[in-house]
Amino acid sequence: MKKDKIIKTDKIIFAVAGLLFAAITFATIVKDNVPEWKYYQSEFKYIAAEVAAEEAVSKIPSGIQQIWVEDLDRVDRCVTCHQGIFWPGLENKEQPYATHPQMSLFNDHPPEKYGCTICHGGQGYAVDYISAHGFVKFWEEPLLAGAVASDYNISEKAALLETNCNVCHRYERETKGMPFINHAKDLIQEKACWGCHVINGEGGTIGPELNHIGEKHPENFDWTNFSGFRSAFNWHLQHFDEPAQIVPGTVMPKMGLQTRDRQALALLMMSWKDENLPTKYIPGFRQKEQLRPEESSKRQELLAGDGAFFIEKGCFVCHSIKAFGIKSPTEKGPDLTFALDDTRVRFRQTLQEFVFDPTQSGTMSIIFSTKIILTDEEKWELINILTKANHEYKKNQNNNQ
Amino acid sequence: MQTGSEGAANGRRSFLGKITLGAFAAAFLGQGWTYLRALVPNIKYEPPKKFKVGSPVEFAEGINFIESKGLFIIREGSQYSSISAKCTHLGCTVKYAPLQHAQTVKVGGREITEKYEFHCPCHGSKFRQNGMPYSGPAPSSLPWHKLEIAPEDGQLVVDISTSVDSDFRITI
Amino acid sequence: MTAIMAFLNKLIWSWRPESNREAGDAIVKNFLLHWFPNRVSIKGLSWGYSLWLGTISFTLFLILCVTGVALMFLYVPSVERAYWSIKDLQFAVSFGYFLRSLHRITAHLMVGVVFLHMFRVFYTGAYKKGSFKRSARSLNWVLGVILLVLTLLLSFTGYLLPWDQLAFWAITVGTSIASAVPVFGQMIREFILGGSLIGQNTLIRFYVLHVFFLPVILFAIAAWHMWRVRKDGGLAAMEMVKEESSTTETSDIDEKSSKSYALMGIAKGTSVHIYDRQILTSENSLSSSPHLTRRITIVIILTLLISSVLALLFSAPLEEAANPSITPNPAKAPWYFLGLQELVSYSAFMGGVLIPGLAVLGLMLIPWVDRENKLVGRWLIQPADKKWMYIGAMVGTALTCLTIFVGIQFPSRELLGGIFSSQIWFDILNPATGLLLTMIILFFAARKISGSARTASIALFSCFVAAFIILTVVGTWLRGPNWGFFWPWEIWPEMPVRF
Repeated sequence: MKKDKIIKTDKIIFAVAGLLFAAITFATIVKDNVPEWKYYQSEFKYIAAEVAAEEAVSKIPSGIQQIWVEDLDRVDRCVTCHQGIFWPGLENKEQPYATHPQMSLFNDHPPEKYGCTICHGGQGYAVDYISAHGFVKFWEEPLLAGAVASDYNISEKAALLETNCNVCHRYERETKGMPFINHAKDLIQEKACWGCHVINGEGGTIGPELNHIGEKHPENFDWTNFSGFRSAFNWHLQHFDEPAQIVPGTVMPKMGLQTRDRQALALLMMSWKDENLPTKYIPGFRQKEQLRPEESSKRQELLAGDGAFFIEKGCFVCHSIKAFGIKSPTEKGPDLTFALDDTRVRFRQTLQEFVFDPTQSGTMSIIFSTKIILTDEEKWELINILTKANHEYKKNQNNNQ
Repeated sequence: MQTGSEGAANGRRSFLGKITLGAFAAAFLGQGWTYLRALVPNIKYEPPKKFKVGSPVEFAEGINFIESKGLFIIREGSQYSSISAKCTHLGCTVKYAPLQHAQTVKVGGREITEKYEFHCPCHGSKFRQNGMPYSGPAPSSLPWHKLEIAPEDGQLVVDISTSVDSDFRITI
Repeated sequence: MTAIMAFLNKLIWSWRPESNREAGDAIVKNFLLHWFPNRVSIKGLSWGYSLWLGTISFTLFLILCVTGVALMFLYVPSVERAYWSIKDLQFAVSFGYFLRSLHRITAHLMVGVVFLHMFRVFYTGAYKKGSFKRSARSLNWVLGVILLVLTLLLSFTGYLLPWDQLAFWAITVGTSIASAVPVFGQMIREFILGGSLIGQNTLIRFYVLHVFFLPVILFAIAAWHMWRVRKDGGLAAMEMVKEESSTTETSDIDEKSSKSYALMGIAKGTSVHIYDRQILTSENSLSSSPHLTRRITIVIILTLLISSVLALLFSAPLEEAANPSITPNPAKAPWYFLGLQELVSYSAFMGGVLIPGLAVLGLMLIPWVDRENKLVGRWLIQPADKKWMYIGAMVGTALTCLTIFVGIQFPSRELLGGIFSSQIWFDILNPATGLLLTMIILFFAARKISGSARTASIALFSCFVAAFIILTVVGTWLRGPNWGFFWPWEIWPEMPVRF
């Protein structure tokens, strides 16, 4: 009967569908539980055991690891696989287990303040080989490793990294460990690029401004007369070689640059980005109070003069010192020019006795014990300066009279 | 009305029925697990537990409150120590309360002279200078943190993931 | 003690009725027990008749709700965080990529299946009143069209949320169409976006619409839609069943009158489903429980199964983070709007406002254009209908290809730019207008020749479907950078990169 057949097939389809659904659910769970990084993490335990004690090895964290740099708004999960970066002794291991080749860089660039991708490029969020190294569509910052460098016939593996270094170090004329960029900066001065272009905020207007040329989207370059692999970096390379060939009618002269010069300059161009960096990340960038000219020259004078000691230690806040032309803003305490005599009169102590044991004066005992703490050497320096000041001041007074 | 083949209520379930039911139960448990597991965080957006708080000379003698990190750095001459400002009751930030006159109290069989205490604004817990609670609901002492000196720039490094004895001092 | 027991009993009263009346009420009032009719016709139950597209659509909607709620816990609707929370889903959240892919693939499937459901209902003539008293299938057709629009809106609002280039520019293109509305265009667009640019204001609007307003409205209307199916006497296949059974015995069913259950309780008068007993016999029907419920469960499970497999195979795309200053090339709307985008490339007003407006209106009005109350609930069987279906489809195909050809070869602005200067002329004189006019002509020609509004509707609808499919295919696969035409074997020019 037709109905019986319907019911029977339905029951079988029902069971098969249920089983298949259970199977696909199982597959989903399995797939999620075998990510690439688990393999690297388990391998690393064996590799670490070669150079470290068992206790340290047992403390190696597992699961996705990340460095979150709030100031830079960066999340770098590189350390999920590259677990050996901070382990000395693994220099010769293969990636991703090796020690960072330049551990000394971490002194000035602590990983928790910088992360990885700000220097190396790549996709910090990702945790699989291809996506994390940024060799995927829709990720604009690939890992600037040797592979990319060799594509452009650059022999130094780390050359491209300098581009990222210079995003922060752009205002430094010379930076240690950045030969390419340093060379490019030499060329900028040598060829006087600033004559035609605005660079770092200053320069001529004959050519386009280059403040943020590294930010220019690859699609916005002129590709009409370009042949070869279309990348912004390659565009710069070819353009530095033959400007007129890439941009017909340009007034930019051919500079006669060698291959290395062009590579260095192209890297420099790429580094001039408009990254939103906190100022504390930019070397040489200090926010300072802007003083009026007379104020700043006066401060210079005070700091350079004989009374510099009293300015640096903060004594001048309460004490004037006529002998050095220091006028206290509050004049709470006596003029220190006469300290040599004052201590005798007020505390029946020599200056030396008072400086080493200021208990006779309530205020000074607190100040010397908690606020202005002087070493013995500094105390002797203080006594000598004050003694000399006293004598010289008196001598001058006498001479004047 | 119902023919024999349609009547399903024949007491015992068929073998096929059992398989189907089992598969369904497994599949739905598995699906439910994926949803729940997705909500268990694998990563945390939190500041590191070990951080620099500044150069030792920058700290004034006595107690210094590090607002952003919720802890106190105590300087006694060249000796430094660090105590958490997080109340052990429900996590409010305790306040430093200086005493009018230094007093000597017996805490845990030892006599200490204290110049200040820590008071919690939320539920009135009070802690001695060494972090021991003596009043209010707080169940345990304020933890003392391990201090280190960063080798590269000499800054003080606080490690809040480990707690140390209240006698812990680092001398610079 | 007894008071406590009494209180506990109150909590579990429905499990343990205290009287026969309560036991009876528990059954009568139980919504779930009345979800399905007592018996269901074998025709209606068959795989081939309805293709179960309605059930599949609603299942997809439920999957979207469940995955959507899970995603809501993990997604942050802010311009700064949205994209990166998707990256987290993709890489760091357990099953995150699966939930997202499932949500995305299910959304695409739902749009597709809802369209197919509409095609099925049209070709079976299920929007017609039929022979049941008080049936209102035409109303249900209108509800269905509204559900289609809601589905598109839900999908469209969700499209923005990942905040990547794909999302940002698809929504830019999509919402710019709104500004082609005469006079009020700019106002409407600003109302949709919450400003003149897509930004945080737009993101939060789309988010709230996507996770709350639209799903709630869609759920309510879908519930009404399904309830109406019961009130209209089941699937339109019942008309066939009735015809077949009335030839044998039950000729007097229309005279019987009985009580009926309305939404709020028992109502006097006749309702359609009470005829079930006379129409549905032990020969041509099965009891709903367990045969209908089993089949529905099978459909649900298969839907889940297929979407899960697709989600595992194809991960949802995520492009670069949204960048308002760089337009990706090409910038495409979601696939179901690519047909419109193709037309919009000729004229924003014609392709973006008039044609879609007429299409939705026309779809809604089908039951009133075609009032012939015959052949209800049957797949096309008449040779004339079949013939006109093919004619319509072929005309649609040829016409659309011609439209695209003309659009590429003879751009109206270049040809007529010297003659006209006002935009109005370009809105009128462009290939899209030709497409629209030819369709209208086709309808009247078919009606004149066949003498049947139903046949003419079939021709027009088939033409519309063919045009929709071809425009969508062209927009999806054959349009490349600068909206240029590329054959599938032609390689798109490589987009330049940084390094």
